[in-house]
Amino acid sequence: MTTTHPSSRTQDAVLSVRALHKSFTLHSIDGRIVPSLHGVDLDVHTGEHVALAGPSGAGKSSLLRCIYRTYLPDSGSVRLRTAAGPVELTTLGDREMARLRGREFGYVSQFLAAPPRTGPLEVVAATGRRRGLDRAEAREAAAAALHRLNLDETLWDVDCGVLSGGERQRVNLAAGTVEPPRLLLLDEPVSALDPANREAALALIDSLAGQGVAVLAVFHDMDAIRQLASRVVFVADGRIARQGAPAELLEAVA
Amino acid sequence: MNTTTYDTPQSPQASRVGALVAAADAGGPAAGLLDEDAKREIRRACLAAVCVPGYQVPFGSREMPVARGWGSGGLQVTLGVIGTDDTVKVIDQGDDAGVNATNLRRMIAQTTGCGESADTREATVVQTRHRVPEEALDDRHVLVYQVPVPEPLRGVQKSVAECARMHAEGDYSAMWVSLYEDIVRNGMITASTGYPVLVGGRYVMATSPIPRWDVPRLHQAEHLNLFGAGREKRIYAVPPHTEVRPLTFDDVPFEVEHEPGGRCKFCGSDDVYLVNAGTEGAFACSDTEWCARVQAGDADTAAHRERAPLALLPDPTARAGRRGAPALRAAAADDAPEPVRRPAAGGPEWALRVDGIGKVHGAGGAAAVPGTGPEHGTAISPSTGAVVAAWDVSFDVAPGEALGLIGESGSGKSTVLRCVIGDEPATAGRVHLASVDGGASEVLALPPAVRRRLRIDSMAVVYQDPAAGLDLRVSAGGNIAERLTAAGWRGYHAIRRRAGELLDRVEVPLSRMDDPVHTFSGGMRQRVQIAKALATEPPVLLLDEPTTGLDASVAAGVLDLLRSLLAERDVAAVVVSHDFSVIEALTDRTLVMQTGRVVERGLTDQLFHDPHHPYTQRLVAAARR
Amino acid sequence: MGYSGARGGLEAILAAEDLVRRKRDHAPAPWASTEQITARFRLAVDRVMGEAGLYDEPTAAAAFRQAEGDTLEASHLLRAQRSTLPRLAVSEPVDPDEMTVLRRIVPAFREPDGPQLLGRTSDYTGRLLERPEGPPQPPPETAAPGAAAGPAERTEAQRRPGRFLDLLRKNDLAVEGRTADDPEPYDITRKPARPPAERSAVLAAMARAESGALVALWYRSVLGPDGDVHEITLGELRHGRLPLRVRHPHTGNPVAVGEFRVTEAEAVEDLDGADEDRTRFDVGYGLCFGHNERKAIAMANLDIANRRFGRSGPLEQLLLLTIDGLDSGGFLEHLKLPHYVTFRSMVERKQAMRAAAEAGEDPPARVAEPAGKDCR
Repeated sequence: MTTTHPSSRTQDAVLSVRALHKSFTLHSIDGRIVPSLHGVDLDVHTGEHVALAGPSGAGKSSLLRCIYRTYLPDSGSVRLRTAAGPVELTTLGDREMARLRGREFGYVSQFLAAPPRTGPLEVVAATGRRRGLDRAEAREAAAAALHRLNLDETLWDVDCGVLSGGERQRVNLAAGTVEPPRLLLLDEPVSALDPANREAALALIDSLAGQGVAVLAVFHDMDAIRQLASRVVFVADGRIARQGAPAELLEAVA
Repeated sequence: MNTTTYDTPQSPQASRVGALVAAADAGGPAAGLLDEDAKREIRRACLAAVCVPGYQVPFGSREMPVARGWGSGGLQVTLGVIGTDDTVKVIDQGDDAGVNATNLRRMIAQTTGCGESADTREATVVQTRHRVPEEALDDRHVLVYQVPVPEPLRGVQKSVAECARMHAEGDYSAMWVSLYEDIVRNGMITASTGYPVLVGGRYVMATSPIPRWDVPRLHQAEHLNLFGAGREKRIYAVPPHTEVRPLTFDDVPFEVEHEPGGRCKFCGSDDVYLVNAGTEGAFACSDTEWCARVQAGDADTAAHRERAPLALLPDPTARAGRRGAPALRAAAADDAPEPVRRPAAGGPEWALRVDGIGKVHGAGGAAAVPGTGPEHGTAISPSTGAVVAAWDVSFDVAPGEALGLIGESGSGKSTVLRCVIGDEPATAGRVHLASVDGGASEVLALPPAVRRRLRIDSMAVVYQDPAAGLDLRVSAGGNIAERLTAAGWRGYHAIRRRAGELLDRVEVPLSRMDDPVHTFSGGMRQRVQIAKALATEPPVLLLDEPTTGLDASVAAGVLDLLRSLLAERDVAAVVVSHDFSVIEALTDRTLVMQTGRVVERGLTDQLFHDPHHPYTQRLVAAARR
Repeated sequence: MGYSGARGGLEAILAAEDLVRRKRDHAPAPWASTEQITARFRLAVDRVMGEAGLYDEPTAAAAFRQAEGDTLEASHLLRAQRSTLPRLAVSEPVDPDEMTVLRRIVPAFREPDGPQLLGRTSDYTGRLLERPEGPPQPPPETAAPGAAAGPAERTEAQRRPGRFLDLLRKNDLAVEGRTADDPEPYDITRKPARPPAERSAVLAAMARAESGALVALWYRSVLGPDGDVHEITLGELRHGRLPLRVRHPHTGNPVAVGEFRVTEAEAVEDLDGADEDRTRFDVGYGLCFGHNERKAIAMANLDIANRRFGRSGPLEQLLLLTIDGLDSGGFLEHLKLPHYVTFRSMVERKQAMRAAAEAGEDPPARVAEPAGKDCR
């Protein structure tokens, strides 16, 4: 398996990325152009757990951000299957994009982007409400997610800003996975966790596939990939170098 | 401003001039205190006043042989309406024999040839200062009031131009706030004489000043009331059978003067307006005619008791109970007098749409625009020297959405907001609100009065400076009451409840609800301003640098509040700020402005992480530092 | 007796009137004739005519005498007299360029078009009190200096010198304030003027203003807390005679029916506002009846100040509504009238508040912030 996966746009792909290009123009340095992605093709299917792997700076996080439109791609296509049918994200209006983000797919970054002076329960419940739960349901779901990630209940109403890195990451993951949408983008979601909490987090992520959620994730450590991924995609120099089942691919790399 | 005036012809007919000159040459008797043309003007003004009850009709007030303030207005009205077959009665403080009354009666009788009487039953024209006679008045009577200050709004608004606007638009919320504040401070309405009334459901009018005791006599009267203000050059009227309501809240009774156990030391009446008599705490009728007739047994005291406002005597148990935190409860729908306007189903997706807004300060209008903007690095027009503060700015905002406008100071973002809300006129562009005709009407083209009306419940703004959105002399609750009364709320308790809920929501302690806002810290003032903006749940909320100028920790608190308020409401918000952290915390989408133009727009997080325009990159780099 | 409403009002009034008449008209001193007053109290008579808005020297002099020298009372008498008279005609527009100058100075320019004519002024005379023992000696036979070439021998250019403003205009240094349309001036004696008002209404209000009030407002505007108003450069000041013309009722032709004296001032304002033409000056205008230079200069300065700042601040309202002597004086005088009905009503509210407090209905208010009280 040394060539790119012969992907085709299948009907059941939740996410379909084609010929995605992204570069950055730095006007402060005489308009220098910093390339990032050079034509990425990728499909993610329901229930699939796709792990992005590769060296730092290869473009893994950029790819996630281009899909989420935190970065605006230069060209190419990102198509998301939604309740109302497939939607092209690269050209979607900002307002529609903002709405899709809440309901149809989520993005969990390495860092907690919680508003300051808000407690974990409130942060997680807010995501639940954006995804259509009522106030009571959202709090219930948030409590369940925080329990599952072993976040001490005494911290639930403490300002997220004073939590440790590991605690914040668990809050972040809980928020991302509460009432999970059909596609989740995870960017190093367990990087700051100690072994015990890491296992709980990975178990939570693993359970998502069973709920019909497609996951596209960047993991730093290979153990997580082995444990979770149904497919591994190697990114290098802004391109997909190769992809395949974790067992074969990771051994090949090793 | 629409000033109705009554001109004499500029060029009198030659024959008339000739006749007048001939009369003058003939050395006839003095024509009186007023020439006939002036009387005609006054009669026209009186007719206009009768046609528009409670409206102050301007007239070319002449100088009289009495000082301005000594009844020069009442005298002109009397001279205008009186004839030789009339009988005049003049009272001051209810007294026929006071020096001012005597002097006026003498002048009127001597120069018009009318009859004189102190008996109201015989009089046809009663000129009065400060009283309505106790005797019944009917359709034979014209009651002419001497008015020192005809403007009921003077106490709450010093600018006469602004007072005129308030009358024209029926915008009396400042009056209601002053009543609200009175009750809050004093537990009752302490306005004494000249009590403001609403005439015919339209104009707020000053009652001359007569005591509150006499105010009910204006309501559905049988007689004609004419009010003459000579110094202020205004005539107004309450015609017979006109509704006259003292301004008060639905649940706060209007009270007349009362002295428990007080009665006239001469005639013994206790159902008349009594004034202090002597130093021993005694009282006497202010109406000397009535007093004398009661003593002489020549008065229908039974009928008088029917007329007397005994149902309006002060009743402490019926008063509002001014202070203390209102009992909060879930907002009751019946508190609101009218439903909050919402876009009809099937209306536009947006709540606010702005197309091509432009603002040029100085000469040239659109012609000043070429040569300005980011690519030229200047907002100053090379051709006209005008400042192009903003040009071609377009956006729309949907319910539940928050849009950011970011840029450095001078980039034009606040100008856009001021044009939208109506604080300054736009040079170009269109604004639509879904709450106005389902978005069909162009808001900028609406008359100014209609636009101001929109600010009551269609569109609210929170300014950087709380003083711009609040009256700092008024209590926190009173500031909110201003918005609510403008929207038609007339229940004191309902207003207090709603204000209390709002202040509670913005975390202003209810113990401070009745304190004037100038005693508040900057952050607290801003919270009050936010509560006021939300009072009528407007579908569109504009925030202009809402946290700028506050200490960092205070600003953070206000920001948190705004974030949760926006999250829990279906309001369409526009947030103007130079601060990326504010924009990031509050908005989903953002426009970046530089020298009056939009240079980039996008999702807020995309602009922050992947800015494309050089200017946006500079802003982001600065924010990250 | 009789003040407040007990019996006997009329007798009291008549007695007061009689006292005034006796003390005034029968004072142990020679009677002052109207001619004496117009000749010896020229400036007082001019002031009365200006504040009354009625130009008639003998009538004003009579009013001045009746008012025992109170100029405000005298202008009240004059205006009340005016109210009794029909308006027979409206004069033709007056062109100030037709003025025969008696005095004319141009402080802003060394050699203006025409003479710097000091005329009758004590501006340059030491204010030293003179206390002559008796009437002054008859003037010497020789003619007074400058009178050698009597008025008849003045040239037309001397009698009607060019205007300093025209010089500014010729050099393109003046903002063009003249409008193409020629609107009918606002007649404040027939239509009450309130903000926003036409310029002619504000000018008319100033021309009739109580002189001291106008000067005080000007001074306050320069030194007071309102800001904005500059001390101007006085461009030109004139005192002179103008002809008054009316159209003949039968022929329709303009006919000169008399002359009247006015003081005219033009104030040169240095424009510095963002929206203003900073390369030019603007000019304020003042004109009032008689010889009253303080009033004309204050008026000219306030005219330009009002056009620049009148609407952004309180100035226009102040000019239209607060400087009329009869208005302010009358309102002040009315405080002397009985007010016991209104006062009783106020007392009742005080007692009601006290009763409520004593009944312990509510704690006393912590703050007292008047939200606005009306005058009564």
